[in-house]
Amino acid sequence: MNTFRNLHPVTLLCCFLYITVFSVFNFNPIYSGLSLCGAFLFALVIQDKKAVLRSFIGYFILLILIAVTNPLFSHNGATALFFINDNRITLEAFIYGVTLGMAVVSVLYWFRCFNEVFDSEKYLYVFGRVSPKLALVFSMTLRFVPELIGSFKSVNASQKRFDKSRGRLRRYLSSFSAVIGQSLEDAVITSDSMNARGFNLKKRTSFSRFRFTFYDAVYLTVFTVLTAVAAFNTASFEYYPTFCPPELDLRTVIGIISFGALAFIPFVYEISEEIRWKLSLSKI
Amino acid sequence: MRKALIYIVPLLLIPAAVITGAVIGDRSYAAVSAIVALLSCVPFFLGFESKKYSSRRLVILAVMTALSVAGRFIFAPVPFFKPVTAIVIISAVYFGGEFGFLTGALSAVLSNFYFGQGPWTPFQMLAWGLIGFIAGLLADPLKRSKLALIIYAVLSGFLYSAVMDVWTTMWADGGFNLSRFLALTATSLPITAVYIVSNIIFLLVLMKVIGVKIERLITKYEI
Repeated sequence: MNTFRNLHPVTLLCCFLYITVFSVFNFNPIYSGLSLCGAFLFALVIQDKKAVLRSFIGYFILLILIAVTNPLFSHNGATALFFINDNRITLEAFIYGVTLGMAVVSVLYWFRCFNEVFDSEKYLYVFGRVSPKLALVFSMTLRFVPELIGSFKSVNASQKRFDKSRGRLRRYLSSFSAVIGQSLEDAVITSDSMNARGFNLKKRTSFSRFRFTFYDAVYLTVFTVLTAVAAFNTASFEYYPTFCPPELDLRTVIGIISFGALAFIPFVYEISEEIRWKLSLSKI
Repeated sequence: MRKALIYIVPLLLIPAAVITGAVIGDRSYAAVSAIVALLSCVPFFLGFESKKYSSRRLVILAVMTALSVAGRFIFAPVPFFKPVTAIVIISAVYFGGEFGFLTGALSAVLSNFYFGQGPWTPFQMLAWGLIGFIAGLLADPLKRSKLALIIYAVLSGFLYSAVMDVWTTMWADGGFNLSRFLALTATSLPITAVYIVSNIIFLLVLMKVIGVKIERLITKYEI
């Protein structure tokens, strides 16, 4: 089940953009943790659960690596834990590293989800709005790539029979250059065909299956408002010289809650749709 | 509007991004650098839309980009052999610097459709784009002498890994830390070396082969 992806591309893009930009700009363990949890849970729902859990080990190692190496390169901070070659290893630098690691891993997870949700057709739609020519080149390239790989395979297979004495790299290179010649000639024919069908005419329309519905407007507004509220009520953390968390007054709480809501909306959306689907099944 | 944007982006938007980062705090270098990398690609894409790019050039741009993306799959059995840089340089030499920039930047975006988009995409776009753009400026010596080609292949290998190491440093450190950058450069040196060797091989083999084909195409169809 993947229903979050059925939202309009612009809404989806704004959602991911808001969350990732906010997570990297606001360097704060609470925000990074919320962002990481939201991203991880969302990935767990929309992707293969086993693959996500397996990937978590790798990301966790990355997090630990960043957390451990940061004190080695940064010697700021008042609380020295121990010394290596007269270099202070400080608690503050370690906490900074953990926060940074969480922020980096959360962004990587969000991109993982983004790749799952935002397919090439959505890219084409968004780019086509900004630059139609760019979108055209995009879609042509996406079509050429499998075609080129296919023709390389057939050329390479026949070259393999034809001359067995050459090494693999040399054969690959000569097959590759044969494919290049073929595809460049084809390109000119394609462009002639495009011109014949009126490529350069002024009034061209394009079809897209995306429609900006009422729900998209609602969600886009919710995302924007939450981000704005969170951005105006950020809690600032100080790491150096001593670690001091912000006071928990009303403003910071509001900021944290609104960012938390933003980070968990994709997950909650997906889960609630799944529950609704299951409920509707049991009625039949 | 588009003409205005070409000036607005480098003169207003990039400084604005840097200043915003400075105001928000000293830990936002990573995000700011990604935004700046992305913004610096914008003028090239704007020029692409406004200029009279004929449909032939469009399709050839698509083919060159597709070749470099497909090359990443085709040469996958040979580790670290990626023809992307070589193809970007070749298309820049024969079709001009802007064309080279677009080939490089588009190759980065499109190959990441298959290998995964991430915060590294803007840096790859900028690195390959710049390699293409500079190759376009040096088109004449690169066409004529093999030595210049080899030197440029080595330099572009270093440029690419330097940009990517800057990216890694930014993200692993939250800012630019020289000692971490040097440590990273040292550890990535063997990969950079293999990368450079593959660049040289691809360029020496493909430059002439593709060059003949492209020149034939240019005279035959008047592109």
